Amino acid sequence: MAIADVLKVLHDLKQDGAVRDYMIFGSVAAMVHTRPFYTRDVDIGVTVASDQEYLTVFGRLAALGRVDGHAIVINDTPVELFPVDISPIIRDAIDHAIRKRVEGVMVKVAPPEHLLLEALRVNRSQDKGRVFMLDDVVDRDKLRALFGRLDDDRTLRRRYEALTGKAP
Amino acid sequence: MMTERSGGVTKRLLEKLLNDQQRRAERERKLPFAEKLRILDRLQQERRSQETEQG
Repeated sequence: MAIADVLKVLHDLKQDGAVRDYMIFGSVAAMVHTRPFYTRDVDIGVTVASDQEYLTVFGRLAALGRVDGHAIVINDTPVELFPVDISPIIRDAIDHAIRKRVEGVMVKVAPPEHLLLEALRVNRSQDKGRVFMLDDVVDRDKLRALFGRLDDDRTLRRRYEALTGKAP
Repeated sequence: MMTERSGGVTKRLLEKLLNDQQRRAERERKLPFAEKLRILDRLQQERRSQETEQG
């Protein structure tokens, strides 16, 4: 299974200390909580202390596949690698990640509440559908708590209300 | 022109289809993550094959 192979590669990189921590984000993470659907690539957030460390991790992963634009293609699967610090929501997600086992490997997956908030933050047209999809499966208390912690100026709350017609 | 009887059949059929769709969605939502990844693998392979055929 191509995606499981990618996860095994990341697991091995973490085991040998090349990656501090990582988490599945984006569409593949959403799929954990909803129905399976087509997505082109796998988004992986990595914990790194500096840009240099990120480049090192990128290089280690790239050596196992080929670079195609921003992605690293491993076993025909494009992997988009990014530091978790690009968003406070993603940074918080890795501390609250859900653990799932895939072909003997334990992986961290972003919770649905964080995925919903990040979809609101990025606010592209393709993210709006994801908000509705995730809204069906989130824990409402956790979602409200997350808005409280990570939405200081209430921009995300306003976007949520405009989109869904209701308060979180 | 739809008669009341044919409108009733259509409405029942639509309800059945929607209920079936909802049940299927719920079934798929509850699949193990590994199984969902296998489905995604298959969808990605199909897409790549289509893109290859289209050149």
